[in-house]
Amino acid sequence: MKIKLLSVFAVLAMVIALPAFASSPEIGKMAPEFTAVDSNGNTHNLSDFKGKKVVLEWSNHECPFVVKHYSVGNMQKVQEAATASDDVVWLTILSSAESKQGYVSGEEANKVAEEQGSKATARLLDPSGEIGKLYDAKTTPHMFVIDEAGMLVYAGAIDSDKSFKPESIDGATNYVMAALGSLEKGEPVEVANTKPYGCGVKY
Amino acid sequence: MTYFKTLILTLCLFGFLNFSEAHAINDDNEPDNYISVQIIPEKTNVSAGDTIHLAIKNTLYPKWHIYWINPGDSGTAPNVKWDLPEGFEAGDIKWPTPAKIPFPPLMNFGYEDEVTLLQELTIPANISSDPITIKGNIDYLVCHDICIPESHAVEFTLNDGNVDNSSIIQEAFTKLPTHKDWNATYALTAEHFILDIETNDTITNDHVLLPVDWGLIDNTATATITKTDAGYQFKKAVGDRDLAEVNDIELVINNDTQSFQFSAQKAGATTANTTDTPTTEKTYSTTILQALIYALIGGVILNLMPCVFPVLSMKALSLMQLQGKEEKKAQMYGLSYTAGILLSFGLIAGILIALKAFGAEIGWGFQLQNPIVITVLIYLIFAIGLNMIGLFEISGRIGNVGQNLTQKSGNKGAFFTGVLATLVATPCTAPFMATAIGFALTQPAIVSMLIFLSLGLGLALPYLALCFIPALRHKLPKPGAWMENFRQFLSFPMFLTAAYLVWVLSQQVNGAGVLYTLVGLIAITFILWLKRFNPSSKKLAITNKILIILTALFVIYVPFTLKGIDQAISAEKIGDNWSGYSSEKLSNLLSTTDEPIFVNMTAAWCITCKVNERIALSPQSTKELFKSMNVQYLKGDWTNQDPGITKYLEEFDRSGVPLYVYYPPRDQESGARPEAVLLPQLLTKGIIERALL
Repeated sequence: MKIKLLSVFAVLAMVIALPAFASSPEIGKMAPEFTAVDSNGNTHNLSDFKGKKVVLEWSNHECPFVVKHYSVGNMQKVQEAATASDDVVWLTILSSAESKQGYVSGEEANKVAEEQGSKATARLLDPSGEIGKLYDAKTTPHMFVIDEAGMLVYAGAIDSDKSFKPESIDGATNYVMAALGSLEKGEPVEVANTKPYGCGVKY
Repeated sequence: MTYFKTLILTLCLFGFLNFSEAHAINDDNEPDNYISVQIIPEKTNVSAGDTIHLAIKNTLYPKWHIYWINPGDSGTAPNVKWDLPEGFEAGDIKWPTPAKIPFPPLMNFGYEDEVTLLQELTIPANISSDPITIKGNIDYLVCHDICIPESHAVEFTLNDGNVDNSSIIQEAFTKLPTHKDWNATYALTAEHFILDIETNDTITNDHVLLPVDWGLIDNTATATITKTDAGYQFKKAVGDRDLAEVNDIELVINNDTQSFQFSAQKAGATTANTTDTPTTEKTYSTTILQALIYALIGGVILNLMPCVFPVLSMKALSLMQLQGKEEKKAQMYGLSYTAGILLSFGLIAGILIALKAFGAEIGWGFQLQNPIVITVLIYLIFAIGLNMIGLFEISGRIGNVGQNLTQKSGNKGAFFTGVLATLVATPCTAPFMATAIGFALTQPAIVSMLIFLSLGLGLALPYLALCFIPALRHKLPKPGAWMENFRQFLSFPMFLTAAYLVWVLSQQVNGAGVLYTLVGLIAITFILWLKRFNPSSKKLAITNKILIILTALFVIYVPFTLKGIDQAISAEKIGDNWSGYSSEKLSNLLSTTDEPIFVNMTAAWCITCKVNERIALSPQSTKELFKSMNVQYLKGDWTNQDPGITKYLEEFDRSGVPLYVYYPPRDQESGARPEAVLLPQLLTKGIIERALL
């Protein structure tokens, strides 16, 4: 039976040894895990926030579309409403490469956030674009909402009006708030996938 | 003359911007505006009830661009708003064919330099004969490396003078895609957007596919175009939109000389067993049947592989022990063996399909990307070699000549020979079966499984035939003393396979890891030697047992000490005439250079890849050819898992290496790159020359 045992062992080894693979994000599937350093030098893993809802916001403070939402306090308002509940974490991710528009050091990121009056939980520095490419983040802003179980429930635009004019915000549906609202009520997210609009991420 | 007055007024208004930051980043060399807009009505003297066209002519600062209606991965299309007097109606914007504007890893669709949008304007039945000035506003996002919004107040005046601009409108119409009422359907698999067009028009391979709707395709991927009975089929990596909501779609296909716009209906969709589209159904079933047949043939060929042949030939020879009277027995062996193979193939395929379903970026041969699996295979194959050369015997079971075959152990033995054959065959399946398996993995789970099982059946077939057809068995040479020698001889292909796998391992782990594995092989030999030992005292027997256990523990421990090292060929690595592949590098070369590009995807464990390099890619004549044509040669290494390369392979419907792709040089006249050329998996110098010249 030696050979039998060996064969069984070999097959088992194949099963056990299969490593975890990176995968592109998909609605209804687990959001890809990442590790990032924030603007204050603290390290965060996505998995640290299991049990909480996580909002990912790709940002570049010089992009007109980001300016649209920050100049009139809209993004801050959404951040504040979202993080008012203890179980929502808001991560602003900065994927501009060094030498490209929107690149900031940790210190500069904090300064920008202060000027903006950002209510995000943390600002993650991703100048290598690793997390951005992991999530296929295309634009600033590009929003992702992850539920308590770590499943991706929303990906796309911040709201329904892709104009760069701040006055368009009023009539627009905010998809992130809608998604968080549905999660709160335990309902499926109605609009789970929209086309992100904005400037391209400056990888 | 008032027309010109209007024009000047409009030009003056260009400076009016809603956004101050647009100015903030301008330095001395940059203009205040990156776009200048001109509204040109088809004619200024209009009558009640007329329908005229407006030309919205945009002139852009060099290298800056604005967007098509589907901007691609980022950006946004211009937004035109008119403050129309009562009764006037403006139609939808007519968009000229856009260009692909790559910003790796993103892809945009838009316009550079100059573009004229067209819009229909209906004049109401009652208009006064006084001049009518119509004002509007156009919001643009204009981008280069960075994006700037520009908001332009525009206006034009009708019934004021008599200017005929119809030639401008006509000229602008020539830039629009030609509308076609082709019968087109699209279908979606998990990984591909597949478009079938019925047409008699000629669509050459250099056409690009541009959906008006967002998210249908991976904008950066290259489409493959194949001729079908009724027209053409486009196949492109699927985009990231949830497509349940999408129904009829609008598409543009174009090359440098022609551009067509048409709509397509959703065909059956995500599963293979939809029956509402007979046309796709037909091509579907033929390709599945073909894949099944190829898989079966491939399986038969596997029997001849150096890793499989020795095991199977010994098994076959054991059949000679059974004389004609033991028909039933032989048939049972055959069936058990087949069951063993099919079960193992089913298991591995199941794992693979399940992993794919969870979104893992893997392909066939993935087993060999894991050093632990390789080490276990090395041990297994080495142990079989030792068994064949006669260091140890396992009576009545696998690999032996079969002295005491009993009914029971014989069937079990046959079953596990099947399992074993599958295991030892894996190093050989990956390189030879890439096409069929690549197809299999793009199919729904049930089809994938059928293809894998078909491959397994092929592997089982020769032995199965021997078991069921006595006449074939009689053709086998007569048993005799020569068999022992033959068996011993066959151990050497096994040792060679083990040596080859050690080399594969050395591409994945560091030197110490290879050393541990080699010591593990010696330890296995030591265990087998200890087992032969006949201890003369109880004390010696205990020592012997303890030594065996300790050594065995070491052997089991070894695979878990192995850690993968970085890829042998990293993106930074540079060879004598090649450099390491990365998707960024490729898209950069594609967009910023004019030179031809050759991509070679390889892996240490891929024999075909090595043979191709030796006979086709490495010879001096090929190197000189590459040099003379200034070919940018990129080499990607798939020895370890690399999701980027897996994705690239999938773009070409492959799930394994080798893969050779040639991107011809940019066409100097049109400024576009022709469609990539997929080279066969077995290369010769001639094939490369023909592809390049």
